[in-house]
Amino acid sequence: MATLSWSDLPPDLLVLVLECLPSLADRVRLRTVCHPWRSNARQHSLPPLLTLPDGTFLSIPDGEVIRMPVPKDARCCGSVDSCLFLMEIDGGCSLVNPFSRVTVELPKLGTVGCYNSFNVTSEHKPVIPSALDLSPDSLVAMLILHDRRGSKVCICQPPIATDMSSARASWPFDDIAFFNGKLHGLGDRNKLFVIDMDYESDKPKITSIRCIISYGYGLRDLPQSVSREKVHKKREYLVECCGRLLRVRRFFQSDHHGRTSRYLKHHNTVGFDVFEAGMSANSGQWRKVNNLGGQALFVGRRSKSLPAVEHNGIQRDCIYFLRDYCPTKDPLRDSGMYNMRTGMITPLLSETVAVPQLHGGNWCPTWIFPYY
Amino acid sequence: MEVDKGKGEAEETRKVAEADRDTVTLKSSDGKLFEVSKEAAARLSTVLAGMIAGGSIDDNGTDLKQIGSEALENVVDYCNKHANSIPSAALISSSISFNTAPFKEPEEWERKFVDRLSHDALFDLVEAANFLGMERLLDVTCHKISEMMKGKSPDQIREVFNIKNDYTKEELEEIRQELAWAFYDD
Repeated sequence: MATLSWSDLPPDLLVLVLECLPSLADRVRLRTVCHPWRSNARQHSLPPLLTLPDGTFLSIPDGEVIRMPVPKDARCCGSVDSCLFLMEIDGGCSLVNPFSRVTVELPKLGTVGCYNSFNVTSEHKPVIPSALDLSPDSLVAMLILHDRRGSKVCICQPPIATDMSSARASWPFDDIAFFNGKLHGLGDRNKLFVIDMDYESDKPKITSIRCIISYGYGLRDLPQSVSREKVHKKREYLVECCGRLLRVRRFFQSDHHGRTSRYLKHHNTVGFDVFEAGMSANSGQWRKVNNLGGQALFVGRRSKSLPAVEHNGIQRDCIYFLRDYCPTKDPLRDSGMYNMRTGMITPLLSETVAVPQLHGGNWCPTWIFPYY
Repeated sequence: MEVDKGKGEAEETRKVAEADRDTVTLKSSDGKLFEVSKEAAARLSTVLAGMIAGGSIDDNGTDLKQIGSEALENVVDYCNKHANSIPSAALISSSISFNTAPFKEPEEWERKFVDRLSHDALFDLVEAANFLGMERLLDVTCHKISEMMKGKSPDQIREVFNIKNDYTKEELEEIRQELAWAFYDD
């Protein structure tokens, strides 16, 4: 009776089959069977991988460890979508897509005013306007955070840096993200900035930094799971999610009594809340949101929203987080999944999965999103 | 399973009879008639449930022009088997809250049910289940298809499903290089 070939299997059915395959390798192989399967499977986003210190990748939540060829002697310090942000001992930086092997050479951070590139007290977060068309000359914006000296935004037209925010103003940004083609920066005191750039010239420059939001409701409230008895610390992320720009606040508390370390080292994540940037023409404001519209957020040195797919074990309205501060040997320390509906935190890996054996290394944990 | 229906009943009598009956009659694209438990059909298929609730079930055989007789026979067989098997608690919960519950492994009888199908029959059944909005049958058939792919190389998958390799040599080489980790490392 079947007159159609299996290569004609409708895209929605192919996606259902993909969702029944727990192994990332199986899912990738399926895409390489024939052209129709390859293009139809693109509707199905693969779950992200978490980088492990030894340069391998951990599939979430099934715990499969994946090896991919990666440049030796370089340390992964972050990521952007499918690309690893790698730094070499001489300060040379690049974005490398381990799936397609596209490489974008970035300026040496030593040449853009950031010394001690291996110093753990500075963090780097690159962002790009569109993940889909990354090419060796794509514009890259990089947030450079210094623990004691604030932060700055560096604009790069690879392979050179073309501008720095600190040349104009000393806005300390907690996070940056492209949203509707514009670079946004999250500042202190609830401020959201637009960082306008002149894209036309060969050397993109920052033309202005405008504050578009400075207040909101519910910002003083704490999530239920945060104890009122103890002090807390915060870390914030900007994430684009289904046409909305979200500000995610992550709360930490410490079990160490009588020890008020100003660093996060001895703290653990206890809760999250999420605000949407309401941007009306006259006055913008932060609006609290209680769910993610069926999406899942992955926050860290690279934040991203993904549609939740139950079969993959990625759950809707959940925030997946990892330890993107103070490096430790255990890549899964202070990582987990925060459920916005229940306020509960559960481990990243399924209960039945063994935590992988590690073989040393100094890669930072970050999310990377396979595009196959 | 196939039944012959006498024609010529008065419209009204038929409608009354239809409402009282505990089965519905379905007609395949090639004109064959099948009888299926009304309760199971309504529970397992969102499309049939809508037709039953909306009164658009025809006693002479509700036309399902998109589904061939072999696939429809399998659908009806599945529904009737389902009606006769005592659904496990797990199955009930998964069919009620499929949006939040993870996929439940097929029951033993469901596994046997799809295992005996030829590849062509499986293909037709998955399409029929999709057309009729049969969430559970879709899960079971897609699970079976995924089982046929697990751990296999693209070449082996092409062989199992009789799919023509439409990649050029150059494309294949490129894929092999990019995805070496997915091909050789498990």
